[in-house]
Amino acid sequence: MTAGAHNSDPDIAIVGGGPAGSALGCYLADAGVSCAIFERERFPRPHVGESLVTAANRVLLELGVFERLEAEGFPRKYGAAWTSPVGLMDQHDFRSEDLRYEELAYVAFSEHAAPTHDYTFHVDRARFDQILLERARDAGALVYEETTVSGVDFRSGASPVLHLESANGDRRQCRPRLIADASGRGTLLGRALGLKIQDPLFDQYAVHAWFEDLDRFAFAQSAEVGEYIFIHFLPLPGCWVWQIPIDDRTTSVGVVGQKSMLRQYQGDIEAFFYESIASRPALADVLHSARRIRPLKAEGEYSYAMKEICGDGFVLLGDAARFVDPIFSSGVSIALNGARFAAEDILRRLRNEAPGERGVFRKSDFASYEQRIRNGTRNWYEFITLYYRLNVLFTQFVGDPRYRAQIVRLLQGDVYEAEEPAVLGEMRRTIEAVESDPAHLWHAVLGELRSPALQAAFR
Amino acid sequence: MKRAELLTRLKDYIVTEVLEGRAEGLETTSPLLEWGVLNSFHVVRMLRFLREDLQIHIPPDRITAASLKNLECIADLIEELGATDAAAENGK
Repeated sequence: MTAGAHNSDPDIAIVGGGPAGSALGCYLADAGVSCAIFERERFPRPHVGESLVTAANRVLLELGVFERLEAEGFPRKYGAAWTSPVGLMDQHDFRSEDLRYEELAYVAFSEHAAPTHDYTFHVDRARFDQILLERARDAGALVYEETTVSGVDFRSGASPVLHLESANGDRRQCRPRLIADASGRGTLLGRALGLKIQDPLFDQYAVHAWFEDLDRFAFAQSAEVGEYIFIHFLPLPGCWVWQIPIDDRTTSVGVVGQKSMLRQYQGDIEAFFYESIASRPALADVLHSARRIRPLKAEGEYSYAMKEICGDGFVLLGDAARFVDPIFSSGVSIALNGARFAAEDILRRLRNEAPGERGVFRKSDFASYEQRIRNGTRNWYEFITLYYRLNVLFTQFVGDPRYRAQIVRLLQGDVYEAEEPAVLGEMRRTIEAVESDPAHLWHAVLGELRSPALQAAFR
Repeated sequence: MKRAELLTRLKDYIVTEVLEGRAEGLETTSPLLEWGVLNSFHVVRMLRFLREDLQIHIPPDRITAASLKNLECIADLIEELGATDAAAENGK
């Protein structure tokens, strides 16, 4: 369509071959745009973030990947379930015999009509990411694995410069028209351009591993629910456990807690993981009957925003643009849909359908991308904040037929509209009522996470 | 629903679902919170019962110790809300 600044340079340089980078590579290469993906690792490689939401399906279908996932036997994900011990509800009852009672709430994606399928997938990210990257390569994107970006330079005129280093030590430069940063939580451009702001509210930390023969049905009431994602509340502030099926025998288990807890364990991630889960004996029993088959891995660098998610010569995608919290499995869906939105804006520019200089990318070219990502992020952020504040009372909303469908819709992940879903307002009003009245029976069970005056950047 | 019937249904719910059949001395004036019969967890389940079986929605700002002190207070609250609902219906 157009040549890069130099003949050998791609028009679009994509940093990172995860879902955001690969999906953008697919959309662009399918449209005949010259693009290259620079990936630090050699795929397949393990990665955290193993559960999708149905909003991801649109991109997977458009790229022809959905059928492939089906054929490869990735487990279908039909819904989400939450469990909590009654000890959570009344701190003074904690560890009393009442703790034997485990409460379960769940929703199925099918409860609110989805555009295509009422399920999506749980994914081994090593295989999933490789399928997407291969799909981009097959479409004509140049893929360079084991290639690190050692620097970026936006000073030399219209074309940014990427400094690249391959595994054998070769160094070279690349001058694309646009850098699409899909570098994940490494946040290449966010750090290089000083755009990154730590979230003042969330300070989460996760430790996770794969387990073999974990009893996924221990808290489920039916076989179907056993294959949902499970969120197990722990009786520790803002702390929970994910349970994600990877295949028939393998289950991913992760503990998400506050970073201050890690300090309490003096940085010992094994203690962080097992002692957190021990706060809920029934869950610890399930875990101890299973066998860990991978080392525990820690994920920090959580919860940040960027002052800008696009600018002259660059756009940030997926985790490289924003990461809030993994609670609703939204990460891969935001990455894929972000790539879809960004591809639309890029193609509009390259086809010269937008005002401006031919082949030169300005911040204004990404107005549509920016607006939709901001809408989505604002809705997710609000939902996640309210969820943590509601704590176990969230299940009250899940159980209320007036709000259930709206919650299912939020959990499906299609949140890019400008309008805020009404259920979020109702959650806010409930929290205010409970918060302002010490005689309220729920007063003591609200989570500790508060958001009195968040900066606009974090909404 | 007559008040007596309402109180019977509420009492049945508490005896069956919360006290696991042990009705020992439960009166409509028994202090549910002081006795530990109702805690914030059981309230969540009772609200679901009121919503699903009696079609009564208790707004979140009424889930207070005073409103839920005993079965009589809960019945008062339901009657008040029922009257409000009926008035709202008639006003349509």
